[in-house]
Amino acid sequence: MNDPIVQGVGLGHVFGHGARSVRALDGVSVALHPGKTLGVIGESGSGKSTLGDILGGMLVPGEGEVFYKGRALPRLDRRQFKEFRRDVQFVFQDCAASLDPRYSVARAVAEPLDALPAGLDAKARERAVLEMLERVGLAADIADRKTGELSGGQCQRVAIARALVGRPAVVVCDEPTSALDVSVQAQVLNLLRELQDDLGCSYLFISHDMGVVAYMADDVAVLHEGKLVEQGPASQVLSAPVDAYTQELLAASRG
Amino acid sequence: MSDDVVRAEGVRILDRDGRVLVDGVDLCVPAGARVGVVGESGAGKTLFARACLGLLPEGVHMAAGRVSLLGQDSMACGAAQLRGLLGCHVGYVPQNSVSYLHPGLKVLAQITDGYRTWHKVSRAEAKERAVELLGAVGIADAARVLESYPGQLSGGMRQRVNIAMALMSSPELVVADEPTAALDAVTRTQVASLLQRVCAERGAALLMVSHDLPLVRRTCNSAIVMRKGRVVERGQAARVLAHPSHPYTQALLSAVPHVGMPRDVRLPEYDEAEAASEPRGEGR
Repeated sequence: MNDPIVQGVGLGHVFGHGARSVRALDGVSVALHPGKTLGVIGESGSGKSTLGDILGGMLVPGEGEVFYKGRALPRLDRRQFKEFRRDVQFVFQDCAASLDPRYSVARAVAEPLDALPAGLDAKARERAVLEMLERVGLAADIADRKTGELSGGQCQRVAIARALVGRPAVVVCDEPTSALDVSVQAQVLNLLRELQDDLGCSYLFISHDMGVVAYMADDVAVLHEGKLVEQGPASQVLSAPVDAYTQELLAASRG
Repeated sequence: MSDDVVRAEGVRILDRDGRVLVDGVDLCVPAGARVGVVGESGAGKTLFARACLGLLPEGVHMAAGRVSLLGQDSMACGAAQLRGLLGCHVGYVPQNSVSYLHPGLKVLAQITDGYRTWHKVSRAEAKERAVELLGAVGIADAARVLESYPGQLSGGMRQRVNIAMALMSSPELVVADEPTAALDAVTRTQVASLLQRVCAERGAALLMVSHDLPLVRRTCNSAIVMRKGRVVERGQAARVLAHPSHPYTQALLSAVPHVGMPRDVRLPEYDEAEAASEPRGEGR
């Protein structure tokens, strides 16, 4: 198998201090491989988002280490860390809150391009933005609208365009369709799969919905109270889970 | 026919600009029945449910149709009469259990407040009933929960409190608007079956608004499917939501990914242009 782009080893994290502290993550190791999707399943409070934030470099883990292309994050020099930041992007559940409502769609999507090492001229920027909007299935005339005026599905498409415009290697998708209607969810999931096929990026796909994870993931990790209770190929974990908690989740998803 | 707790006929709701938000919806909720209203955002589900309760938000109005709630015309009766009707006979379970409960008041004060307003009971009696109902919704340590602030409870726990609160007045009707949307998978199933069980035990009818089709199929006897303000399909929940006849309902069902589906199959996306040429679903 290819070397992982991003890997977490023995990750642990505690929020708060003393008696009120909460252990959100405990000894979790996962790896993200090019072109593959790692699905992370668990209930609210199981540590899914904490894991995503740590692997994406948004949160420094209390224990363990994150490796980017084989090098531990704290040991990256300035230039390498910038590269890591560009290479790992996020798509969140609440896309309205993750976009500035006063920005135009074009400005929101173009912003990550400023971080590219070779700066683009205005023409190339515009071309990149329009191409990306077309890719995510948005009409060009939406480019001048404010992001605050969009529907949930449009807004999530803009967030995906923004995440992918700089061609990152990894996208952390944290419950990207949980706030959407099922028909819009189907569109967004299909879009994410198409983009992965075209661009070869890796997804960390966080969701509490077993069906959605089954549709998206190559491998699945199941978190329960901060601990990794099960990890393996999606077909195996979801069809014949070994862990009792995974079995319970699966039963709940079937109803 | 007087056995229907809700009888809505031709309900049509417009906003200030004259846009039609709900268009000619009929629905009966017989006493003790569990009826689901499903559809996607913007289908008009919540507006319709609020119209049934005479509680349309500002800026929209009912342009046609009538609603009889427990035999009374809910849009025509006065504010005081409506408050009494809702306070004594109708329970409400909201979607967002967080914002529905006051963060600065203990559960005891909130759960007994409405009950004591409409029923002449002592504090002790109200508390006794709250303990009983918290027990019925599966909260064993009711004493601790009553002394807690909402922020100290988990989402599933708060939603249980809301269900217990909705049942305080022994209502004939419980209206639940997306009662499980904010909960995760395991809790969602628990809360839905709880809602079904307590309504059945206490003889309350349930009107459940939800975009979660499998959940409605499990919880309700009958269901209507709404799309863009209209009813596209109606019938027994088990049939409508397992073997739908309308293309829109079929599309909704097949768009839900599930464990065990082949990975190389693409989720179908509903084609609006194709949909426009379809015949409209019949009302009944």
